[in-house]
Amino acid sequence: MSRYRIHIVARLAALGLCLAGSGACLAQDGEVARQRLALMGLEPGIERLVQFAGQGDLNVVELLLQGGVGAGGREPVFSVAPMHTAAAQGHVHVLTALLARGAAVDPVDRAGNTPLVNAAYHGQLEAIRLLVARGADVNASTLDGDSALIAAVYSGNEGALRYLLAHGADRSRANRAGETPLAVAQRAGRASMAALLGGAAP
Amino acid sequence: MLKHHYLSLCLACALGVGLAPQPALAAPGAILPAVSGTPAERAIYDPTVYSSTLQSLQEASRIAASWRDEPVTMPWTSLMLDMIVKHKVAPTRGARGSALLHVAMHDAWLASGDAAVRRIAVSTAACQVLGYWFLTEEHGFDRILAALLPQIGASPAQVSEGLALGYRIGRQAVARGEADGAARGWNGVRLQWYGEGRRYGPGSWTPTPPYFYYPPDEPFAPGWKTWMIENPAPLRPVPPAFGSERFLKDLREIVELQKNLTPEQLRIAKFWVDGSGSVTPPGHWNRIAQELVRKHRLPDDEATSLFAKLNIALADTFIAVWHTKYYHWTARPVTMAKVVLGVDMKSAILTPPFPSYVSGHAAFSGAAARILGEVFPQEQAALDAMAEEAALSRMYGGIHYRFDNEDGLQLGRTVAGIVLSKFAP
Repeated sequence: MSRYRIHIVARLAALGLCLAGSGACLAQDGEVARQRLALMGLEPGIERLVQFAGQGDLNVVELLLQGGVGAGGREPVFSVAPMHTAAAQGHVHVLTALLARGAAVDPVDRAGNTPLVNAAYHGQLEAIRLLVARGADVNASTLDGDSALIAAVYSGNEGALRYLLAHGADRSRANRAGETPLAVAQRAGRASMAALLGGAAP
Repeated sequence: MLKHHYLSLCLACALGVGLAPQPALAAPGAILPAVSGTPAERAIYDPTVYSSTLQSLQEASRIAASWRDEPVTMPWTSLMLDMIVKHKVAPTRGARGSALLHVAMHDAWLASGDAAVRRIAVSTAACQVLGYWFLTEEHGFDRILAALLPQIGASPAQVSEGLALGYRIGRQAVARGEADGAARGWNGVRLQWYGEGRRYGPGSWTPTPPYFYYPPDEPFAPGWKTWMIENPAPLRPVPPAFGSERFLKDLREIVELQKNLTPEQLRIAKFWVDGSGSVTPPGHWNRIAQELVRKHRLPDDEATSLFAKLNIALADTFIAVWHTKYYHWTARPVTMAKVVLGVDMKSAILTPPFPSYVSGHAAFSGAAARILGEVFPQEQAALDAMAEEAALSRMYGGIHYRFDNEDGLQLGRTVAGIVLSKFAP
C-alpha cells in the first residue's frame, strides 16, 4: 500500500471515529470539516464558498462554513458574496443555510448587485420570495441604476415581476440611462410585462 | 526508454543499417501469420491506425522536397497544421502547441553549427514536441524522422550531434509544456471545472443556443504561463456597461446585421470561421505567414525567428483574451438579443461556448498582422485590412459585438508590441 493510500485511509478512519461519536466530537466539527475539504483538494476560503454556493452544493457549502469560512465574507476581486451566486442560480437551500449562519440578506458587490437583483435577473422566483421574506430591499439597484424590477423584466419571468410589484417595488424608478421598468419591457417587446407595469404594449 | 529506442532507430536508418528484410517467423502451430514484403512495404513498427509507415515515408519525402526552396521549419509548420485539422484541435490549444513547436525549432536552429546538423536538430525537436502534443501519433513522428535522416546527407557525427541537440531542446519544450498550467482541471477524460470565478448578474454570460454547451471552454486558461507578457491583468480592457448607450447600439447593430446579411458578408463570416476541424485562427495566420515567406523568399534565419515570434504572440494573446473573457463574463449577442431586445436571433455561424468580450479572432488577427507587418512592412496595409476583416467576420457571423472586435484588435496589437520589443534577434 502506498504512503498516499495509508495517509488517506488513516484520515478516513479518523473521520469515521469522529463521526461515530456524539457531542464530544461537536467541538471538532471545524477540524473534521477541514480534513474532509482537504480530501477533496479544497482550501477553506471565501472564493470556494462563493463558487460552491453558485453550484448549489450544500454539502461542500456546509463543510466550508463548518471549516471556518464566514457566511458573510466577500471574494476580493468583485466583492461578491456567496449569497449573490446562490441567489443567481436559485439555490434556496444554500441561501437558507447562509442566512442561518448570519449572512446579510443585502450585500452589495462591486457592480452594485444585491442577491435580489441577481435572483431577479435570472428569474429565480423562489429565491426572490425567500430574500424578500427575509427583508431584502426590493428597491435596491446596481451602479447602473437597474433595480430588481428592471432585472425581473430582463429575465422575462412574469411571476417574479408580479411578486416584486406586490411587495413594494417602485415601478417609476429609472436606471442611469433614464429607462423605467416599463421602458425596458417595451424595448424588449414584453407586452404582458408592460401591461403589468401600467403601460401600453410595445 | 522508448525515446532512446527510437533515437537509435533513427541513427540506424540514417546510416543505412538495420533495414534488411527479415525472414518469416511463422513456425508450425504459430498463431501469428508470417510477415512478408520489404520494410518499405510493411511497417517497421506499425502499432496504430494513425500515420502508417508508408505515410511517414511520404511525409519525410515531402519535407525533404520542401527544403529545396523553403526554410527548414516550414514543412514542420505545414505538418503541424495538418495535425491540427486531423485532430480537431481547439484554437486555444492550437495557439499553445504552435508556440511550443516553433520555439523549440527556433532554439534548435540557433544552437546548431551547420546546415545538416540544423536540419536534423530542428526536425528532432519538432518531432519531440509534436509527439508530446499528438500523443497517439508519437511513433508516427519518430518514423518520419527515421525516414528523413538518410535524405539529409549528413555524416554519422552530424547525425549524432543533430539528434542529441534536437532531443535535448525538444524535451525542454515538453518540460515547459508540462509546467505551463494547461493540464489543470483535466482528469484524463473530461474537464473538472465547478464554476470557479464564474460571475452572475445583469449582462453575465450563460450557455448559448443551440447546444447550450457547458462548461465554457478553457476556464483555467487565464492562469496559463505566458511567454513574453508578464501578466495579462494590466492589459485587460473594459467593455461598455450592460444596458449603456454603447452596449445597446452595438447589440442592435448585430441584430440588424443578422436580419439583413448580404451574401458577401456571409462569405466573409464563413471564410474566417476557422471552426472545429479547420486550421483554427492561429493556424490561419500561420498559413498567411507561410505564403508571405514563400512570396518574399525569406531566408532561413529570418523565417525561423518570424514563426517563433508569431506563435509566441498568438499564444500570449490567447491567454490575455481568455483572461479578459473570464474576468468580465460578457454575454453573447444571441443571449442579449433575447434578454434586452426580445429578439430571437439566429447567428449565421455557431456561437462558441465561452464569454464574448473580447473577440479572440480579432485579437489573434491584430497580433499576427502586427508581427508579420514588422517583417514584411510592404504588406502592413494589406495585413491590417485582413485583420480587420477577420474581426468583422465575427460580427457578420452574429457572435461578437463591435466593441468586442475593436478592443480585441487593440489587445492583440498591444501583445504583439510587447513580444516584438522583447524578442531577441
